[in-house]
Amino acid sequence: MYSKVKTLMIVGIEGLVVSVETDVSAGLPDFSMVGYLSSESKEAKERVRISLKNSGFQLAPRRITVNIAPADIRKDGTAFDLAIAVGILISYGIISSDRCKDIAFLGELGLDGRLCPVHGVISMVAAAKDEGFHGVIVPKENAREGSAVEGIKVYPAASLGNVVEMLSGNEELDSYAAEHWVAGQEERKYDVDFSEITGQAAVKRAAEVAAAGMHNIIMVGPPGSGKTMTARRLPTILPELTQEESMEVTKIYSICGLLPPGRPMMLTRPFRSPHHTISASALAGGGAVPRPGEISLANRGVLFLDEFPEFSRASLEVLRQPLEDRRVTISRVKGSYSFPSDCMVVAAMNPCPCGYYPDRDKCRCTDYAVRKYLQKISRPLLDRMDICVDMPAVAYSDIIMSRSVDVKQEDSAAIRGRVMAAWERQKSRYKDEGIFFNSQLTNSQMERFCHLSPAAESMMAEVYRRMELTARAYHRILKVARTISDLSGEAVISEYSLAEAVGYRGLEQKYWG
Amino acid sequence: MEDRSRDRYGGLSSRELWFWLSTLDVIGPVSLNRLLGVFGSPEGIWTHHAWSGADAWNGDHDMPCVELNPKQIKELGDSKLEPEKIAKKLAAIEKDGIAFIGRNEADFPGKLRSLPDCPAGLFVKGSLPMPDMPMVAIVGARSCDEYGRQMAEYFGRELASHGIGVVSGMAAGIDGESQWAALRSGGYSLAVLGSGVDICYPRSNYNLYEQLIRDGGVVSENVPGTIPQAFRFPMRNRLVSAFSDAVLVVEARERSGSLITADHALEQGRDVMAVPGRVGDQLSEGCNRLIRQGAVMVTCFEDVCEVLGMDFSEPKNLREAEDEERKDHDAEWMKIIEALSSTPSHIDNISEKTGIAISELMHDLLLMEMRGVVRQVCQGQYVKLLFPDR
Repeated sequence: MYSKVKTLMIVGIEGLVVSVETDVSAGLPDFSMVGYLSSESKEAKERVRISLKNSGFQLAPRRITVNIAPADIRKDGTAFDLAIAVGILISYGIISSDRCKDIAFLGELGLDGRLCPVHGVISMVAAAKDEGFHGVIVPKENAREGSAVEGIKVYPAASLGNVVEMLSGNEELDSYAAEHWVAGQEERKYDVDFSEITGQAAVKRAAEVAAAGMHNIIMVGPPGSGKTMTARRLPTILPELTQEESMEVTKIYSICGLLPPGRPMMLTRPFRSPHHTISASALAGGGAVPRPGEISLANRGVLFLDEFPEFSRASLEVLRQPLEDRRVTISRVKGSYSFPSDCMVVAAMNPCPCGYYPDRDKCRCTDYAVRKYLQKISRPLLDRMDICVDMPAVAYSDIIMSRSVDVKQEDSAAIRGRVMAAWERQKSRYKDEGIFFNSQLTNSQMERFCHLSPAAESMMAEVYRRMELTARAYHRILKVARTISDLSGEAVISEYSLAEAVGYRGLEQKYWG
Repeated sequence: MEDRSRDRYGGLSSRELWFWLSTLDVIGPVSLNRLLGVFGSPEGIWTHHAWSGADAWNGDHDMPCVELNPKQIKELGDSKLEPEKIAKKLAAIEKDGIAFIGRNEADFPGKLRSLPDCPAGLFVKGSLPMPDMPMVAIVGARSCDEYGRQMAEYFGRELASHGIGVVSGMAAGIDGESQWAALRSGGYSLAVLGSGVDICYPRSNYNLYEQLIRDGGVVSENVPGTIPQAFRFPMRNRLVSAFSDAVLVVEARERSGSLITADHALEQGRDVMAVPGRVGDQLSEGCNRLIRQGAVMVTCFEDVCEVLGMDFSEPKNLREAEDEERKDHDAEWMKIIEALSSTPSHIDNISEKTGIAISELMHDLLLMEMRGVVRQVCQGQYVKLLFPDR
């Protein structure tokens, strides 16, 4: 007898509904599976056969054929197991197909018939909802994650036996009580705060500006000056994730199996800090079946690249296109996959191989060595770093200050307040432009939105001439100046905002020439 | 007659024979001068029977009368084997725009003639200084700091704009900075290289090298094509001091090549001057020691003039120049200038010292930078310009 049940798979970061067709007929006893399966999907055959037996179903030897359609998309993952098992049981007439009509099945089977959790549940449940399904049966461990999708019922199950029971009865199924996971509702759980950084006023200010306009930032400083410390605290001053953003981030984490245990949704902005030995494909995403890379995992958050010049040239260069398009597109023969990569890149580096330049008492690197070190970063990549700040070594007075109770450092919440106000201003200004942040401004948009006050105008002219700026540097300064003005609520860019933006320009003239 | 005499020397002219001596590498300038002392002239050396042929010195031991070792004797013999190659090589070098000046020629710098280790000839790109031009060598550390950079720039600029030539080694750091400053102010500068004049070392100074050829001079005693090797630089330094009337050391560590130049200067009877630095600054240890040993301490251009016995203007010291600059600005600028020194200070520290908020400070510093009062040496690090270029 023929049967057809629905399950889902992941393509990119979205779910795709696929059908599991099963036919059981007379002939030599056999169990074959077709439908362009990857090896982990092919192995479902053994898992399903034995878990059926161990769940107490004595199936007569017949010729069983399973097809997973559409047959031209490569199937990978282990989430098909449950649907195959259910399909076989329907074909044998053990359960009725009526109950399965509007339901999709997800889950991997153990040999003892238990249902094991799978990755990417939230994307698949969301896709099922879009396809008009009434409910999805998922492993009970995935129920909380699945229930984050509104408008579809999620039925948790512990084992194959459990599922069969559910489908054999007549009563209404128990759906998982959807917890209302709203981004920002739950108390923000960052274990770090900006108030822990003493001194370093210039860098804190630069971090605030970077956050306000989602500008990429590069920090240069000697070892131990607090580059990593600052970077870790950057997500804490970014405004909270919206519901949509939270869903997007959760999907990516779900696919990679990186959701924190006990947390069905990503409610805080991600912070990714890959080691500098990372390969190009691990950073941007890749693989025979493309998976999101670090830059996509940092989507809507911060990608921190410590020891920037130590990353391999190939890894760094691969960042260029995703930084521009805010999306990674990976092409394979069987189609192209696209992952969002809308993140803020925070890079940290030493000014020279020993780290102490320009302190010539400590640093004996030759000018050549210093230049060589800086030149490891290519010019095009540097052009995408809007803000460049230098961090001084921590002074003793700063250490002392952190001990005294009287001096209160500003905490992340206060900075976040200002950043949020700047975000609001940008949002209302760019509502018809399809962009959100000053960092995304194109040159023509800049002409329309970045107006300089007369004083700033004449200052810009002088700066351009005296500092021999390039057109690119000019545009970068303008974008950052726009953000600084947004922070202080100016409609027109003042000379103070402009001067500060000029101060954040990279010193490419000097070192990166 | 002329032809017959040339035949005796492998068909080489007297100029070509001096060139031949310049190409010898194992035989250094000291040995060469000893040879010339014994044989009188390059012709005398060429015709001596000891280098090759049946009567050749057997090479088992040193040759006592000229104190040459077997390796040096072999070089003399081998280099004589193909005289036409010597002539060809000189022609090729001159075709490349490199001038060769033998010691016997009139344009050979007089200052060098009296050296006990005077080179047999010089290779020149660009031009040599006029014989009556006063010359000062400015030398110092390659990895200099901002203070040294400013000092080198100041002295290079002031000397050159007053018609005094600046000699140096075209190295990174102090050497290059002073030569750049000299050329920028429209003066003359001479670089003495440790490699051949056709090789720019360090490569990072290529722009300077080209400009020196255009507006100044690049000179070397080494045959073009000689690669820079560590042992050639101390030798080069003796020529740096020899070309000059006085040597100014701007920044030098305790063990520094600049001190070798200073030693040569003393041997050659040139004045030695040094720019003082703070006690404890590694980069000034060499200078301060020179001063203790009797070098003239100089803090401004007028001090150098005094050493040279020249007088250009009434002395105006650093303090006055600074005060003049300060009058133009308001109190806030003065506060910032006071917080700055020639050691880079980070904007955080400036803010702390002056009490001015970061964003406002960045505005002021930008204006000051454009007025040429301060300089940003690297992101967020500022120094006060000691000698604002007006």
